[in-house]
Amino acid sequence: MPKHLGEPRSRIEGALKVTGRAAYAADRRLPNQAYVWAVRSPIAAGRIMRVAVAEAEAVDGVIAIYTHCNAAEALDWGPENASWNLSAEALGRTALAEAEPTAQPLYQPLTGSEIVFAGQWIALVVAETLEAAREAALLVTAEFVEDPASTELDKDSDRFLSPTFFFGADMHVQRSGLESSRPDQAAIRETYVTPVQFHHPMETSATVADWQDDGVTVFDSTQGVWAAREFIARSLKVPTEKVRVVSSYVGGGFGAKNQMWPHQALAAHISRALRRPIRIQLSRADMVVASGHRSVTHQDVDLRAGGDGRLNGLSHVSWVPTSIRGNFFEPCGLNSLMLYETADLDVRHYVTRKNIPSPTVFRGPGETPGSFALECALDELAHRMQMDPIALRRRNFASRDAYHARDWSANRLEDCYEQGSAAFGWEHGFTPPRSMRSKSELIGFGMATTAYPAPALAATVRLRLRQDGPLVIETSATDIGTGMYTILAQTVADALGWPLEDLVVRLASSDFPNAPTAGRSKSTASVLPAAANACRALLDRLQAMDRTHSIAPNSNRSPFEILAAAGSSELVVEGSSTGMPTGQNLSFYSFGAHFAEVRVDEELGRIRVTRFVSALDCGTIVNPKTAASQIKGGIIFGIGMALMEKGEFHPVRGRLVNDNLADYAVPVHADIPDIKVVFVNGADERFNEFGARGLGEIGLPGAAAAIANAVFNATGKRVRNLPITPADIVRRA
Amino acid sequence: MPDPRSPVRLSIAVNGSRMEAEVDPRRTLLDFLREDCALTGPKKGCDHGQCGACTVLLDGKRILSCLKLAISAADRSVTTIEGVEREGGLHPIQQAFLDHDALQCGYCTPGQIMSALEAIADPELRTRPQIQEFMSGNICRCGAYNGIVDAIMDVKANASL
Repeated sequence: MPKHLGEPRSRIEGALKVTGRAAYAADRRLPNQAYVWAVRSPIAAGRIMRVAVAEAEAVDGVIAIYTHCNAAEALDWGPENASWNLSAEALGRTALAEAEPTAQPLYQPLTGSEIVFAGQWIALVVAETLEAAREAALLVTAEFVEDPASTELDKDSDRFLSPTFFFGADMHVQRSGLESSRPDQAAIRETYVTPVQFHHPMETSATVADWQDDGVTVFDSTQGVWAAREFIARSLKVPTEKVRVVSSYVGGGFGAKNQMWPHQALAAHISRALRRPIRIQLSRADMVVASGHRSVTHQDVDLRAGGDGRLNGLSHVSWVPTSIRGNFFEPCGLNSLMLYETADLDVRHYVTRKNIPSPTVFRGPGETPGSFALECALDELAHRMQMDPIALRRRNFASRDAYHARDWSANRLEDCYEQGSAAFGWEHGFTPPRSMRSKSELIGFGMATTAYPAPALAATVRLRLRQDGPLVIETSATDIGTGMYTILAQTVADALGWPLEDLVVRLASSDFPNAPTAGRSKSTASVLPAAANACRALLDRLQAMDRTHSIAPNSNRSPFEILAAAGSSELVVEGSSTGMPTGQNLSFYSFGAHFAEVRVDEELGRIRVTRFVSALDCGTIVNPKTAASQIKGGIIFGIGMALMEKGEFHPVRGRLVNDNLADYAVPVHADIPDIKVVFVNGADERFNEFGARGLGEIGLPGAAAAIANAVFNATGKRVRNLPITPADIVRRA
Repeated sequence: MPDPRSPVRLSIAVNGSRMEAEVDPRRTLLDFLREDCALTGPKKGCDHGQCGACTVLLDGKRILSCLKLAISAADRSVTTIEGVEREGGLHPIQQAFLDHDALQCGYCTPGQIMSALEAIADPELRTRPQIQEFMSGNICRCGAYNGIVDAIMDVKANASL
């Protein structure tokens, strides 16, 4: 039997995707289905005085229009704290609670007349067709009393809150080294700004809800079906088992579908009220106001080093916004807490409330913007000291996780530097800016470190062995493009010596056993150990059945023969994992090093990323093929962040103006060079039996910094405010 | 004057089968394929011609079906991803997408493949940069770009078409 773990395997659900047969949430079309279109507030702050819906209601095909005036009665729609504490708006609330003892109610659309950001949903039109819904939506008119709104962060005049604990870390850490007697030889003190970014998964978020009798089936684009079920059930005030959530295929998420957003519950409420199936698919413009974004960040980084490059001090202070009635904020300083050894450490976060839609988790929340600031500052320090940027990082290599006071379970960052620089052809030593040129273009090399925690949560996997059919694997985990379908099949095939093609993997139905929401790179380490335990349980049961029902024990009978001899048509077993290893007092992280080559045409200001190499330590790689794709995807987000992506608020109206894929540029085919991914081999044996860590996010942190550092190396221009545009290059300093 | 919203009876050949329907004149070809023909392959990614997920072939040439009214495709021939398979098996470009892991979430994949078919058929497109330029209207947010270009180059090099 061939071994599958560790081998490149094609996606087992791939054939469904390349033929168009894989049905995503919005592809579900139920009989008698009605369609929903949202009407959005043109103002960013104030109050709705009147909504006029009569003209819209007169449009042929309109079924209902819901506003804050009728939603409570017609839909039994909030404000409902029991469910809304599970919503995206609540994430971060605990961290801000101390600073804000009397918290404002969480944002929930259609529950009141208050407007807290531009684009807020003020009405939903339900109609027989999309065309009728859209026509009617244009005819809904509203009158407002407008208040002054503020969308842009201002470090000097905004009122900032000090959060306490978020993402497993104190948001305010100040530590003085006892032996910080080395004199400072060089210091860097700069401010870095990362832009508003939109996740923009290719599938806009969608929910199809079908209320029947006393329960609802929901086809949803969520990254977590159990979490969605709980949220929707509490919102409907029905028992959890009356809600079924299915998201067999999810068209990308990147965080936009990780938390719970209003449309998921609203679809179910409307279906219950109208007694017919309802589809809400967010428009591309809705995606920037109704499913989160990454906020702007302003980060002050202050580095002080002795003559040998060792850090005497690392200070990383972040200034970030959240919304008026939400709570999520970017915890930018996470990597600064643990990634480098420093005598003094000062990591702080400050949060201010703005009239913006609520920000949310976005691939590598915290680490991604934080690594841009930290890794650029290190590059600046290396330049100041005329050091090789890798040598500077090696000098400050953290031999243990000083913040958590724990050893690493495994840390092969040094190997990443070595293997990555070899694969890239990194010139060790100090390479001054503007020293490489080809014809009319300046060439620059840049690098950065990436690191990301390796969490795990409890999960359960179910196996169904039938006499007449393939072995079925069931768990509620989602595959949002990550490869979960495939690595689960690989795991079970190896554990049971089963042919890969005779396995069926069923994911992402709330009928299946619990698995965590896809996010924070935890699914592999949560789900695979559960699958392994399920396989052991199956083998134990088969062995027991064989002993009971066999005349000649150990007869080497096949599982099917054992099942037949026992007179059983189906054997169902479950196996569970318990999450993080206990009793070890270790820190579990993945590490990596990015290397970028850029070519810059100074006359045109054009920057092209022409090569990119990343070397990563993610423990054992279960499927090198799908793993490399995920890393490349993260790097491409980094290219977008470095050179293209920036959501912009209208300076007066406060609306996100580039809420579409033409005005908000994302990387396309022509922007992307060949990307080389090197996995530094080595199992993290103390993490789980596979030695595998998740790798959904680690490709992104540091990637934008590597590019910005390469642009500096090419041009001598240090751009600390992303994205780096042609104007930054042609501008004379 | 008749109501401009009055449904129009039209007939479009979709993947070789004649599809007839009473269609709102404002309905896009994409919504016709998804809602009236119940196809799941053509995807709605932006509805504004900015992402390429809805790409189909109209009389053999790729178009963005969200930018085309269904009535303007009347009596013409549309091929979607559902019409690409050959004799029950995958088309070589579909197999190449699997081999090169030219997809992650898979949502942009039908559109990528419909554009790829034209790239493969065009003898003028020979180099990777040419293919990348030609394919740049099809966004893949997961970032499967390397694999997609590999798949197209592979088929161009090997398939007898």
